[in-house]
Amino acid sequence: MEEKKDLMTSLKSELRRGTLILSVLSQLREEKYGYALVQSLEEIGVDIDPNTLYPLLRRLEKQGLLCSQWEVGESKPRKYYKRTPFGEEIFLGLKEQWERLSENITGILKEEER
Amino acid sequence: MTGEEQELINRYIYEVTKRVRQEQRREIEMELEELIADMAEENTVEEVLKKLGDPAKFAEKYREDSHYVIGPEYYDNYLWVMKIVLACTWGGLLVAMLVECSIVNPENVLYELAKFMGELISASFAAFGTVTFIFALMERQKIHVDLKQEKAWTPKMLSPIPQKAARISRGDCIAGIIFIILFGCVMAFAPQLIGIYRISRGDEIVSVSVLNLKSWDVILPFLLVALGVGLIDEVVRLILGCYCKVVMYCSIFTNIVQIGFGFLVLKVLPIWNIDFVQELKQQITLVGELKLEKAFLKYWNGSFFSDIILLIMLVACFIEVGITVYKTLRYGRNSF
Repeated sequence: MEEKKDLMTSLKSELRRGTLILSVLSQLREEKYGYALVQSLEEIGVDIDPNTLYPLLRRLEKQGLLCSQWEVGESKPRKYYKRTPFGEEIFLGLKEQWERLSENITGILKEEER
Repeated sequence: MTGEEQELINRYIYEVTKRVRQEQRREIEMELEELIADMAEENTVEEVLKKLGDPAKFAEKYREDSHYVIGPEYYDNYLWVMKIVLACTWGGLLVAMLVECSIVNPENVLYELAKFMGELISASFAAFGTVTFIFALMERQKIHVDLKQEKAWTPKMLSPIPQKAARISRGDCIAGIIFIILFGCVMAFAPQLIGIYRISRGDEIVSVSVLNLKSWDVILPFLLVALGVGLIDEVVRLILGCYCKVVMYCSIFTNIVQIGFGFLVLKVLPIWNIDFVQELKQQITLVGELKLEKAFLKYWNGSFFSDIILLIMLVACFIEVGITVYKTLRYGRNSF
C-alpha cells in the first residue's frame, strides 16, 4: 500500500517538475527575492521547496535566463532575481509550447473518456 | 532569535556550504542566511531547518558535475579487477611467507607471520589505491571524450560490432594481471628469494641473492612503476575487450615506458648483487661445489645478463605491440 502511494506521489511530482521552470519564469518579470518567490508560487498553487528553488534560480542565472543583484538597503542583504531579455524570449517560447501541449493532452483525455 | 537558534542556523549553513565548490561558498552562505531569516519570521528555527531538510541533500542540488568517482559503466569491471588484484596480492604474499617459513627462516615463524600480516595490510592499500586510481582516470577520460563529441549523433556513426578476431581474450588479460601482481609482490616483499639455493651439509638451505638488496629501496620504485604501467595496459585491454585505437595507443605507450624503465633498471641502476660471485664462492668453499656452479661462476657477468634480459624484453614488447597494431588496423576499424 505504501509503495503504491509513494509511486503516485513520485509520478505526480514528476509531472509538476516539467512545468517548474515555466512557473518560476512567469513570476520574474519584476525582480523578486528568493523567499518572496516561494510564497508567490505557493499562492498560485505551485508547491516548491526552497531547497529546490534556490539551486534552480542559480542554474537559470548561469544559463542566462535570469539576472541577479544583491541589495544591501534594508536590515539584511537580499538577492533579487529578474528575467533577462533572453529569459523573456525563452519564457514566451515555453509558454507557447505549454499551450500547445495542454491543448493536445486535453484532447487526448477527452478521447479517452469516450 | 536566541544565541542557540543562531548557532543552529550557523551549523546548518556550514554543513551545506562546506559541500559546495569554493567559489560559490560565500554567496550561497548569504543566500541561505537570507532565506532562513525570512522563513524564521513565521516558524521556529527548528521547523525551518526541518523543512529545508538534510544539508547534504541540499548541497547536492547545487552540484553540477559528475557525482561518481567511478560510474556505473566501469563499476562492475572495477569490482572484478579489484577482486583479482587483491587475490593475487594475498596469494603472492602467502607463498612468499610460506617459502620463508619453511625454507629460509624456519626458526622465526612467528616473526614471519607478523611480517606477513603487516605486508598484507600495506599491499592491500597499495593495490586498492592503484586499481581505484586507474579506473577513476578512465572515468574522467570517458567523460572528457563523451563531452567532446561535437557532431550530432547519427546512426551512421554506429561502429560495426567487433569481429571475433578483434576481441581480446579476457583470460589473457587476467593471466597478465596475475603475473604482474605476483611478480610485483615478490619483488616488493621477498626479493631475497631470488637467487641460488643450495642445501648445505647440515640440511640447511642457504641462498645467495642475485639481486642487489642493499640498493633495493632505490631500485624497487622503478621496477614497480614499470609493472604498474604494464598493469594499466592489461586493465585497459580487459575493460575495452577488443582491439581499437585506445588499446593500440595504450599498448605502444606502455611498452615504450616499460622498455625505458627496463633499460634504466637493468643497465643504469646496480640491480645485480655486487658480491654475488664472492658470496657464492663462500658457500662453495663451505660446502663443496657442483659442476653447474663451476660453470656458472666462470660465466657470470651481471652486465651481460642484463643485456640478455633486456633483449628478451625488447623482443617480447615488439611482438606484443606488433600484434596489437596489426590487429587494430586490420579488425578494429571505426571504433573508439
